[in-house]
Amino acid sequence: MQYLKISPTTTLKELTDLVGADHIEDVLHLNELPRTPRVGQVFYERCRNIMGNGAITVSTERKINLLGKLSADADVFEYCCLMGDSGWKVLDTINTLPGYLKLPDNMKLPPSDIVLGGSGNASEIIFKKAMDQMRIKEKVDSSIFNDLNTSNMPTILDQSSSVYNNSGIFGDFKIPWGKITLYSSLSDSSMDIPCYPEELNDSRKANYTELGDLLYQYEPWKLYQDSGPRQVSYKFHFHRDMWNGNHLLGGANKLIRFCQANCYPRYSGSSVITSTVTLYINGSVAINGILTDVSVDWDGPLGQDGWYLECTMTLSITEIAKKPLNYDTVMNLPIIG
Amino acid sequence: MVGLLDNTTYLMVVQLIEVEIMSLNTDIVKIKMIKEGYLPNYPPHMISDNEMCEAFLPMDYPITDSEWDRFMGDDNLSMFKDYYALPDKSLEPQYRELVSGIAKELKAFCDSTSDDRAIPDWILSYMNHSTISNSSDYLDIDGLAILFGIDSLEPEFNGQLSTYCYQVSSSWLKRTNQTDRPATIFGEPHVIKYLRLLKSNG
Repeated sequence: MQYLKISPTTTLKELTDLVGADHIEDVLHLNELPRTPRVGQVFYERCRNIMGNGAITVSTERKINLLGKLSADADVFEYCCLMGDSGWKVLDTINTLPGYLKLPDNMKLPPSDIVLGGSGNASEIIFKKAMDQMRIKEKVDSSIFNDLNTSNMPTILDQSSSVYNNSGIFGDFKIPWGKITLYSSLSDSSMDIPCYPEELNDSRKANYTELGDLLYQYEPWKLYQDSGPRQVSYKFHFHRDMWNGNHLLGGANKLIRFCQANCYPRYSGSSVITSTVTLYINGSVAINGILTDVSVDWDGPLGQDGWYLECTMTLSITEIAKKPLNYDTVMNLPIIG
Repeated sequence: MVGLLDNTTYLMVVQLIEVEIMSLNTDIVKIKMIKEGYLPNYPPHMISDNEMCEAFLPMDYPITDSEWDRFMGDDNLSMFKDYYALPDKSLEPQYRELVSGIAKELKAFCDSTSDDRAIPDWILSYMNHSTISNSSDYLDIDGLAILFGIDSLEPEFNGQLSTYCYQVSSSWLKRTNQTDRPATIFGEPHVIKYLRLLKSNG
């Protein structure tokens, strides 16, 4: 079964656009919702009423029972394992997740960040570990899902808020989220870098060969061979807490891994597919090319996980020119950039 | 073809066409309101025009203070309130005047037993959402703001824009001697028309 995340401001029209006009009646009926324009508001009020109802308690046996039925979808299983008591109340009472509408079995939405379910069975190892922990400790530790964070248990409020809520010591800084983005063609995905490049090294070259064995010449004869590709290296200086105030979540490490992975190809049978990257700064393309070097310098104090907190990452990108280059086109390029 | 008809037949044909257009307009509004949940999920021909008006603006005329407070409260559910919320508290008297004007016309429409009864075009522009408000498309709001000379990167239908709309609407209604309706604080088609005329005249 799939679950669709809605917000308190979701209207019936928006929900119809998401699930389709053919399915809207089924979705409303399944979730026992009235046909009202403010469908999100009605659903959230119902969830809040259940969560605030002190008379409802969900025993550990009941949780184990419910979890057993949800193992068909790994992401739903993980979500349920990690939700707080109020989430369990909602699941036990109206058989759905807080903030999520149940979808009928006969419809399937493509995977996206607002859809849970349809990702395949939960792995047997994780299932067993979760059940054991629930039985013994009455809660499931997020570390069994390979989450880097073991200190925060997600709740409905955490999950509804932005991933990049700048809390913690960097809460007062204006971090330019979404302004600097590195795109990888291999995975068709991109990641944000939370700071502008501190240093930039831009190099264009011209290569000449030398005509040898010429006598009586006061300087060698040079023959134009080619103009070397433009190479640019960007130096980013960031702190691991800049992601959301909690370095244990590993946002910086994920970014570094993403960059490093772009130095390697993907083998598919006998073919080798390499990645091209595009660096966007403030919405425009800074450079498009191949990533030839990712070097990382760790520095600064040690964090709670025993690793350095401060990082300087240098990305070297060799440009793939979008149009043929010659004296005139280069002269006519923008003065800056 | 019209040239071949005598005067009486021609007027009847025009009247028939007007009734058909009115019916088409209300059908479109009903379909929109059904889709968005303001009306029950029946085929549009099963819903009367009076039910449509009631769902659009459930308000009696004249409006009492207690009814107005209920209308402005959070629990009130009507299509007009959702689509045309008050942009700024300072404009409440003008907003109330507008709501009152619409309620008056709708009441007259609902009470009428004539076959020729019709909802005024300017109210239909609210019903089919062609009047610009804070729930309109971003580009529409931007287009209206630019006509007022406000070129903003993040246009929003705020109190300032609403006040400008009211000024332009008042002067247009005065100029065209339309005394039977209130001026609007939203981007009604006549506001846009007047602004375009002003612009084209330099």
